[in-house]
Amino acid sequence: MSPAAFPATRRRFTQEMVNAYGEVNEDRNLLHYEQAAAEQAGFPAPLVHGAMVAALLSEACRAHFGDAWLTAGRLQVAFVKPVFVGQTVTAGGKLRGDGACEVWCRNEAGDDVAVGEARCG
Amino acid sequence: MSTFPTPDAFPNALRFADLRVGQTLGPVTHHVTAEMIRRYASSTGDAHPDYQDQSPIAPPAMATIFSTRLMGRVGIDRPSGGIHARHEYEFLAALRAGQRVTTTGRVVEKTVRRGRNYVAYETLTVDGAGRPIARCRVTQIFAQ
Repeated sequence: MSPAAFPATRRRFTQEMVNAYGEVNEDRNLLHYEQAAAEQAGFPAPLVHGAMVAALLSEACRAHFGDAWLTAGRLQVAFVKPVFVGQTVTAGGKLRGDGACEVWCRNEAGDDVAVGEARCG
Repeated sequence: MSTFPTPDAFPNALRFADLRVGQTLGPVTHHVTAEMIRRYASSTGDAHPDYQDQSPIAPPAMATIFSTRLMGRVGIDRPSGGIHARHEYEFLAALRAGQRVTTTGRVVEKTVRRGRNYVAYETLTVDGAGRPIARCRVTQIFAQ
């Protein structure tokens, strides 16, 4: 039986990580890589790929559910607030009464940056 | 000062105005290598030893790469500026290095909300034997 709450999974997203993700995904969206492009779009810093935030949530889910997550995991994520390069995000979750888990990622200020639901099996 | 490429720099891009509900997407094929898995895991900061083996399995959320590729590579096939709004995953089988995966999809929803162009599409990724690896439903906001 999984515990009621996820172990917190914390990650600081650096520009090097964002660049490396873009290399693997072949993404050249300048908003992720150039300070000037981010400012031109009204952001204070380049944006972390939303998929990196989803990956952090999936990592937390695997820690919670175990290897069954690889073959029976279900994850719904809504990206509700941008994450900027240099920010630290914490993924967490808690078991609901219906067997699903409410999951989230929060920035250092405690604001939700991604919210959703996870279940396994 | 950095500037975004103009839309006409991507003449073959899938654009919001051209997409229709029911439209099929793909197929796109990826050959999943050990190096690709290690680079993906490293870029996301996931140090799980399963992703570092000689014959590693892939982090399941790597399905994001396969599914979103159906709309083209941002900044290469289509203009920058879109936003990833929502992603739903259904992981069905573990993916190992050396496998070739093929992803297909279909546009399932197209809406304008508060002046933003939302497109939702569903995808299925299968391995070389046709075994399902992952299903996704992706919602993206299109800049154009």
